[in-house]
Amino acid sequence: MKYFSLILATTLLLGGSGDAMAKASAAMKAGLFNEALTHINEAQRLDQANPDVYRMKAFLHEVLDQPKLALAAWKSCLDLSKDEKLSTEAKIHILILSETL
Amino acid sequence: MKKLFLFIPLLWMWGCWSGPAVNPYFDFNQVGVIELIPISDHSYMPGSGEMVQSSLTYNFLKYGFDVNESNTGGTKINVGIGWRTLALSCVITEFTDSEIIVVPYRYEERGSTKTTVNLSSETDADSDNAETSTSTSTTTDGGSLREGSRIDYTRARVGIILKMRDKDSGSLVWSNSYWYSGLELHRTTEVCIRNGVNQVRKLF
Repeated sequence: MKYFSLILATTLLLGGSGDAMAKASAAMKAGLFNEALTHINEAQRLDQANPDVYRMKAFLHEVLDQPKLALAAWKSCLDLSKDEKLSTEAKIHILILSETL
Repeated sequence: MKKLFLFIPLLWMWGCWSGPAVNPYFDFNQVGVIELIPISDHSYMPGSGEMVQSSLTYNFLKYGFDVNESNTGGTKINVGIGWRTLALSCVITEFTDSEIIVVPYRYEERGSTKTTVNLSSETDADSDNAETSTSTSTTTDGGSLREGSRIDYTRARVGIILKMRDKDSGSLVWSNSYWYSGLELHRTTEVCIRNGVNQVRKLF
């Protein structure tokens, strides 16, 4: 008697925000800022109260020369931040971006 | 009540913007030339002094000032028709493109679907028939909301202190510090310096 088994395993990952954040980080490190922004937007949807995510998003908009969107992200970051250093950073960026617009 | 509404935005601006220190007795209309003192490198970044100096002269030129770089290395910026000369010095307080930022986040593990297919074949020695059977099982993980995960990325950060002193008297007439952050060192340096030069030009 001869037995053989063939096991096929398929894991379907639908892409949670954790996955999106990891992808955004990897894309940023590779200098793929447009791709990173796509992943950040996805991650932000599930973690909307995280000021650090807005800071990442703002940095990406700045490097992609999108000052209006960067300004909006910094304002959201400032609204949500409870950290003094992060708030100061957001204020500096808001001030400078406001002058350039 | 109106005063209160005026006071709140002023307080907010004051909190994020510490303005420059200015000598109130100095008349900037008497200034004709600003001499740029060569900028020393930041201790961790050779070449940073030259980068900042180039960015300074570029921004002065961009704002419409007459910039003169002599063969001996001295740089003069003509800002008016006055007779006084100011010496502009710049100290680089921060210059890095590898500051690590850790981002804690929570995320939703949306679950997964795992399908296992078992395929078995049985051959009977006394028979010419072979039997094959297949079974399939599917398990679904409903997912969960997790906290405590983190990723990291690196950013650039540039900080400078600008100072201007009257070359004749030696007295400090203006000083301010600036810093900026971003993903690219070049752009971050550019914005930081532009912000400083933008403040200086308002004096003349």
